[in-house]
Order: sequence, then structure tokens, then C-alpha cells
Amino acid sequence: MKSAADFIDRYARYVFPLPAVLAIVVLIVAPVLTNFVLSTYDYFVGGRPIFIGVENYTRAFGDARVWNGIRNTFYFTFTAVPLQLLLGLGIAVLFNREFFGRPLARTIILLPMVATPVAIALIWALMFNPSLGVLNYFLESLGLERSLWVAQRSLAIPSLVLVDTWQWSPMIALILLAALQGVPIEHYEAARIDGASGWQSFWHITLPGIRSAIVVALILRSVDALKTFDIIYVITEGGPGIASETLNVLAFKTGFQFFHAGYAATLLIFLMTIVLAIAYLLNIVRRRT
Amino acid sequence: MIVHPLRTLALATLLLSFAAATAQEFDWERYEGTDIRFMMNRHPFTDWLEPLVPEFEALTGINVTLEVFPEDQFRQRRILEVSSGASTLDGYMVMPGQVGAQYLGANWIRFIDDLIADPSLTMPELDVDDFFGGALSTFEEDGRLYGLPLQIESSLLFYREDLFEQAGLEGPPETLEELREYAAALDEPERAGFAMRGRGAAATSQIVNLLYSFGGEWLDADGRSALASQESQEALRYYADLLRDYGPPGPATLHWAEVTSLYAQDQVAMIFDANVFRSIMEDPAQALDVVRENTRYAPLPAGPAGSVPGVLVWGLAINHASQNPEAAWYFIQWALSKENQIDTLMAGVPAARASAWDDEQFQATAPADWIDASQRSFDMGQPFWNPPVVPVAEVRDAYGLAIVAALEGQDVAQVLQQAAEEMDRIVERAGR
Repeated sequence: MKSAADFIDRYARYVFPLPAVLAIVVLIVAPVLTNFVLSTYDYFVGGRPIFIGVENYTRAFGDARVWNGIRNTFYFTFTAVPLQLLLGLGIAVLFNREFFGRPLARTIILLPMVATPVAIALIWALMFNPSLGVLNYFLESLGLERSLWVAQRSLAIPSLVLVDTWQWSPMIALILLAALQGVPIEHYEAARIDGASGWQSFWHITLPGIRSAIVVALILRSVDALKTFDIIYVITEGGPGIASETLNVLAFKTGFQFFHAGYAATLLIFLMTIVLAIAYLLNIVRRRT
Repeated sequence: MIVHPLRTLALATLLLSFAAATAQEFDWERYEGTDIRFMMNRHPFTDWLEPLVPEFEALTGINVTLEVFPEDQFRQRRILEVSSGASTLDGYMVMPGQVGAQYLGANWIRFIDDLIADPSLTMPELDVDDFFGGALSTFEEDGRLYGLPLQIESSLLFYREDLFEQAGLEGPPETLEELREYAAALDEPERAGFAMRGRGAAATSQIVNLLYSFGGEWLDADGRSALASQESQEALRYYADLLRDYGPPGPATLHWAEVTSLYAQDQVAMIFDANVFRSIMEDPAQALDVVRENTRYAPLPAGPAGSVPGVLVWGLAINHASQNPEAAWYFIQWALSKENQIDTLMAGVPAARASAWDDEQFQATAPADWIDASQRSFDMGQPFWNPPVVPVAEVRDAYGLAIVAALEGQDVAQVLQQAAEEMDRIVERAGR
């Protein structure tokens, strides 16, 4: 036993991180490598895998449906995330002030975030229904025209953005609120003494004070939004047609419905590249701030 | 009739000696002690079957293991086992309309004609012809059988008798042309005239009824896509016009759940969807009173090629690698016997035997027009509600895109041409 203890003592710097390294290898490195290998095969599940080299990649580059998926992924992400940032910032600033019932309001605003995505997606799907849904009922009682919501090509992604925004703005608010509370109150007092307006102190004190938190929130949300699956699949299945089919939804269909495991793996490599690239870019921005 | 005991005895002795002289007679206990394993989908039929398995074991002395999984998992496990050639799996539940082409192509299913032909292996009261024509034909390949059906479903026209009366319409529409006229007469701003599925791939299982009734097919004689044919174009044009003119808003999002709830909530006067959804229309928690009280059922109205509904059939088949095909066949015969099929039907599963549907006890439990319309559909049914190719889901997806495009008003001939080309590419890709 003594020798084992000696061994651990001597190599503690290797032994202690070992479980973490193992977990990373088993849960992240191995699947990514397997996925990469799979992407070089033509593998129709149930049949025999055939090695085809880069053929899946050349096919994907010429596949209009893949480009449609990439376009929709970007459209969804870059509409949803800025909207959520704006709303989240607003909520954070509001909640940074003292008002009656603040603790309760803060809890309530977090509810969309903690609800199960599939469950809320099912509820939203019901609300979007053009004939029976409650959203059209509201529109009508306000004297507005009924909308087709997700049933109309041009409105499908904006409607999904609405759901995503409803669900995830609170998370941005939460991150920014923590940052806001770290901005020294003295700065505001000094600004007030110097005669700065509310806008001026927001622009010159609040924003710079939470800039790095904003970038962190942007990274987390963008990465998450790029690979959004549950709400899109449950509400529209990528439809009407392929109007809201993101790369992730297309990869799911390709792999688990059409059984082309190799091609699905290729699409996921595309998605992973996009996610990594955007995370990298945002990280550069973060380091500069 | 008075039966003379002595004469009966003499006759029985004669028959017995005759049977013994020619062939061994059917004996339930012949495979006593054999172990068999069946893989089952977590389906109402399985729920019905599981508690009865000890009855079979007591009758035959065969030990049965049922492995039951939820549908997605069931399909994945089944394909793993059959493709590996594992010989410990003796039989499984199967939907030929879904995987028939794939399983037959890979020789994963054992044909059962030799078993049926052998009177020592098949119970005398099996009566294969008692299964609905549409159900049995699903398991036919070049005149040979590869399994027996356990349940059959088809789609029906659900319509509101009270609205028909108000509009001065008589009885259900008999032809698709009449259906269009009826839909026009019933269509109101607050209530659509007609609805059926429109959500891409999910709609194909319903629109196939129109495809067949217009004389269309999935494949042409050369095995290439027939979706661009004249008949297929007419079917899709009819469908798209019907839903665009008299359907609810946003037809391209309609799945069965939307179709049935619109109807149950009095938002549409007629729908066409699976007959099993009668349960929704009879449930006070889901359907308005006016719907529950006035719903009637009719078979698919006839098109230029007649009324040709697609039928959805589940059944039992024997694994190609099974070491105990006879014992597995015993289990299938017993599970699908006449008495058990009545029992199945009474448990709420649409059994595949006509005699079960004729049972008086059952007839008292369901509306006569629903039973009648269902039975007629089962007899007329065409088994391929899915394309008879290996990559079923991908082809449905391609056809689904054409359906959505047609609902959005795009040119039908053009979108079907694209779908047909895509379908050929898909089939070719999966087959290499």
C-alpha cells in the first residue's frame, strides 16, 4: 500500500486530473473522432458501411438543402440572439433597481428558462394554431388580422425566434444582472455630481462595466441557438416544407429518419465547424474587451 | 340434432386411423419444452397479448419470452438482431408497409407457406381466408405469405350529419367530385368545409388514398418513381385545390392531431383520417357535444379509378434465422386464432379477421356505419400506404415537400417532377 501512496504522491499532478481527462476523452474526444470517421463512410443503417473518403463532403457542398439549412441556422440565431440581448439587458437594468415585489418578479421571470423545452414547444404549437390558437384570439380581440404564424413560410422562423426569445432572454438577464451588481455605485454618484444624464451614465458607466459579461452571454447564447433543436422540431419539424429546417434538424432527419448515418455525421461536422468558428470569433472579441 | 354415440365413435375411429395412416395430425403439445423469443412493439396488441402468454404455455408447453420495446427502440433493436443473423430471435411484430421491402430484400423474413401447407403443423381452424383481403395481401410476395396480420387500420371520411341536413346534402359523398361539391356547400367563414393532413411527410399516408383512387402508383413497371404521372398530378391537384379552397387556414401544418382537433372543436365539417380516431370523437373531454352526437362515417369516396384506400397493417412474422420456426408458427397461429382476434378487437385493437368484426358482441360496441365503412375499406385496401422501397422515410419526405409546395400554390406538374427525380435518386443511393 505504501508504494501506491508513494506513487500517487510522486505523480499527483498526473493522477488528480486523470478522472477529468478520462471523462473528456470518453465523452467528447471519442465521439467527435468516431463522428469524423463515420463522415467518410456511406452508411445506410442496416446495410454495409462503405468507405467513400470525402464524397459526403463534396455532396454536402452541392446540396441545396444543406445551404438552406445553414441559411436558416444563421437567420434564426442572428435574429434571436440580438433580440434576447436587448430584452435581457432591459430586464437586468430593471431588476437592478429596488421595487416592491422584486424577489418574486425575479423568480417568475426565470420560469421560461427552467421549463422543459419540449413541453413549452408543444404549448406554443397549440398557441400558434391558426384556427384554434390563443394568439390569433388575442390578435382578433385587439382588432388585428389573424396570422398564419408557423403555417406561413415567411413567418415560420420569426415565430420560432419569438419562442426562443421568450425562453432565453431571462438567462441573459440573469448573467447581466450579476454583472450590473458588480458595477461600483460610486461611479454613478460621481457621474451624477458631474451632472451626467441617465443615458450618459448608462452609456459611459453601465455598458463598459458589463461589457465582458455581455460577450460571455453572447457566446453562450449563440452557441446554444446555433444548435437549437427541440423547439424547432416539435413546433414545425422544419416546415412548412423546409422553410425552418436548420442544419441540426436536417442532420437529425438524415441520421435518425432517413438512416444515412455517414451523411448525417458530415452535416454535424459542418455544424460543429460553424459553432466553433463563431465561438472563436466571439472569444477574440472578449479578449479585446 | 340427435347424435348417435356409437356412430360418432365409429366415425372418429375411422378418421383417426385414416389420419394416422396418411400424416401426423396437428398436436399442440408437439414442441413441448421448446423456448422461443419474440420481439414486440409496445402497442395495444402487445398489452393485450402479454397477460395471455401463460395460456399458450400451458396449452403447448412451449416457453415464450416476449421482449417489448417502445416503437423507435423496437425498430432499432429488431434491425440489429435480424441483420446480425442472431438465431435466438424466433419472431417479431412487423409492419410490412414500412419495412417489408427492406426485410424481404435482405432475406430477413421466413416465408410460411410450407408451414401452412403442412396439416401436422397448422391448426385445422386457422382459416387464412378469414383475414381481410387488404390485410393478408400486405404479407404476400409473389403469391407466397411471409406472416399473418394482427391488426388493420384504414382512413375514413368523418362527417357531420347535422351540417349535411342544414345544407340540404344527402348521405355521404360517393365520389371525389361529390366530396368537392359537398365541401363547397359546407364551407363557411367560421367553419371549413373539409380537412385532411398537409404536413409534408406526415400527409403522404393520407394523400396516398387519393393517389390510388386517381389510378396513380408509387412506382412504375420499371421500378422507377411514378409520382410525376398524369394520375399522380391529377390527385395532387385535386387535393391542393380542395384544401386551398375549402380547408382550414395553414393546411401545410396539419398533422393528424390538428385535423382531429379541428373537427372535434367544430372548426371543420368533414375530415379524412384514420378510423381509430373515432375514439376522439366519442370522448366528451376532447369533442364538443354537437360533434359527438352528429358524427357519421363513410369509406373513401371513389375517384376515377374507384375507391382504393391504403391500409395500415401490423402482423407477426418468423425470423429467417430462427431454429424453432415450427414453435414460433404455433405461437402466431394461437395469438391470431379466431377467438383471440375477437378478444383483441374487444380490447380496442382493430383486429385483422373479418369474423371478429362480424361478432355480435363487438357490433354492439361501435356505430354500425363505422363498422361497415371500416370493413369495406379493409377489403378494398391497398397495402402500400408507404412507398414499397427501402428508404421509406426519405421518399415520404421528398413527396411531402411536393405536397407542401402544391398547397402553397406552386405548379403541381413541376413539383411532382422534382419529387419523382429526387425519389429515384434516394432509392438509388440507399441501394448501392
